[in-house]
Amino acid sequence: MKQKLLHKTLKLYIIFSVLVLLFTAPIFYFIADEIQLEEADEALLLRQHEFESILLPGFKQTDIAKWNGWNRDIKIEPANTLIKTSQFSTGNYLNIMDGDFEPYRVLKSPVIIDGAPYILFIKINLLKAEHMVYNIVMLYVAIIFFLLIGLFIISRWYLAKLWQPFQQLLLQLEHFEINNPVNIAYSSTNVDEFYRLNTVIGKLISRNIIIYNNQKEFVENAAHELQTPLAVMQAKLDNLIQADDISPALANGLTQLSNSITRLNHINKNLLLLSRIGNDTYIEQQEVDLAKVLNQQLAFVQEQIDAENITITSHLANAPLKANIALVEVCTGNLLTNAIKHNYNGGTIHVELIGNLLTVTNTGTTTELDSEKLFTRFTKINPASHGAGLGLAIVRKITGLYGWNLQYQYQNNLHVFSIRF
Amino acid sequence: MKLLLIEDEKELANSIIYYLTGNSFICEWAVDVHSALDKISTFEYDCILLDLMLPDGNGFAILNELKAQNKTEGIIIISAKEGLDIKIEGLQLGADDYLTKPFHLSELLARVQALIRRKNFNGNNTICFNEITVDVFGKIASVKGQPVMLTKTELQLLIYLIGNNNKVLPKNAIAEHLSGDMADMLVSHDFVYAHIKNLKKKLADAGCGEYIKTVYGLGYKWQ
Repeated sequence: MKQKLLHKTLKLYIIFSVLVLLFTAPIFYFIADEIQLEEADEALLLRQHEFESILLPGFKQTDIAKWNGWNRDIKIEPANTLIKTSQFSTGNYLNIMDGDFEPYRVLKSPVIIDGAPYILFIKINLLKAEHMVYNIVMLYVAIIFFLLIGLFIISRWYLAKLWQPFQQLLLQLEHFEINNPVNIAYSSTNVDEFYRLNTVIGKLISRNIIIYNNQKEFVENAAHELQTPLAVMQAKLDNLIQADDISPALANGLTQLSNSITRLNHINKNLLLLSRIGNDTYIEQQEVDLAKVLNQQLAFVQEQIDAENITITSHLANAPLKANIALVEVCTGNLLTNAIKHNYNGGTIHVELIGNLLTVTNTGTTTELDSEKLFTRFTKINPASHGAGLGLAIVRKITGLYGWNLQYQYQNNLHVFSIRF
Repeated sequence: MKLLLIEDEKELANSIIYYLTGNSFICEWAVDVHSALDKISTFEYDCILLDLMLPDGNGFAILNELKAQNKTEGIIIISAKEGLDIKIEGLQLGADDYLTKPFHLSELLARVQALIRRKNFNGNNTICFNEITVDVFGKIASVKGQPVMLTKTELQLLIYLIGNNNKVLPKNAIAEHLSGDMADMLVSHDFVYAHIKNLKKKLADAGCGEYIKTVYGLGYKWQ
């Protein structure tokens, strides 16, 4: 399963931010707790200092009861245990207002009133732990929520926009065909990497077009140059077989030679055709009556297969088509001859043309053919056949030229080739 | 019948001349544009076989020259170039037929004969062989004056066989001749046998001599 780049980065961002937040939450809690205690201690010390410097000098033992009656958080208690220095502690005390126990920070420090030791007891309310945790959690949920929305929006809008030149290039490259090259429109970009990508791909494509054209020219020239020696061979052979004293063995050899020349010629012609499809040679287009073409071809092949007991059925509706008629004939012709060549004695072929869909269904080997290899040139699926494996490669090239959809399927022991025009 | 072969490939020229000479043609040979034009301006030919790629120029130059001189020789282009555009250009420049290399010599001979028949408007549209007469344009074959019902293919086969009188014709050459433009779609040559058999039978039924011979392992021969 391939993921989109945007989704991948977005996923990574989300995982990372959630992890960071989860790890920092307890730390945040402890730091907040620490700060709270520090602040409380400072306030306690301030009150102690206030008391000792302002009130204590005039304080009498008789004032203690009255003081304790009026003050809730600063009390003076008898020194049951002797303490020498101030002591901080934390504990739960009843909050009369709430009727509940709450955490308090407490400072106990020794004071001398009228020569007798007392303890100054100051307490200050702290945040409840569960309150603090609740608040922190709420805060973090809010942060995560806004962070996710932000990341989502950034990746959806901004990053998508940022990657736009890349997507555009990719789309064009997906539809690029070396045998039918269209100019790639490179979007202007101020992103260094995209600019470099555009330049590199531009160079790569133009270099490949040159190589491809050279190769095509080479194939065309080679096939072309082969025709003259082939003509000489054919002519010599045509004269050779006129001799009077040809033994059966020699006759057999000469016939095989002649058939080989025919095959060679056929391969050569197909190579030429393959290298020429897409050239100006076949640029002319006209209305083609596909049913008529097929009927003619069916009548032609019918004669050839009578001996092999192959039954051909057909259902051809009218389907006007705009294309080069020579290429259409090659296309349908190759599909038909293919269905015959790879058939068996007593087999069937069904040709159907409905709307813009042509299907050629035939019996043959009882295994599915490798549809990847099937349309590649020089791939021989059936080693017994005399073809060079160019027929279907030509069909694919022609369908590719016109943007028709060529498909192979294996259904109910039948090989089905279809072209959607 | 006098022919001019314009072809720079010596071995091919020799083979063509050898084959055609055996069938009552006088064949002259020019190796390039220059010598071809020389011969054309001096002699009259019934048919010219023209290769397009010649050492000193393009065969189209010869077509133009023939046109300029108002010559009416039949011209068959024999070329390795097989593009439809070149065929059309050649035919527009006055060529009568176009044969792509490589070809069977029997096919070349059949084309030459057909061209000469077409050029001979003054009556001689019939092929005669002993008791057989074929009216090519009327598409009627008759034996001893009695018409024989032949299919289109059988008639085509008969004309081809008689034209290549005394020549061994390989099965693939016959199959390709009968297939015409559709020769690329040939998957088997076996159907030739059926046509030969039918033609033999129809001719025999009409009281015709046995001219179609089977040459073991090679093909058929009209003799």
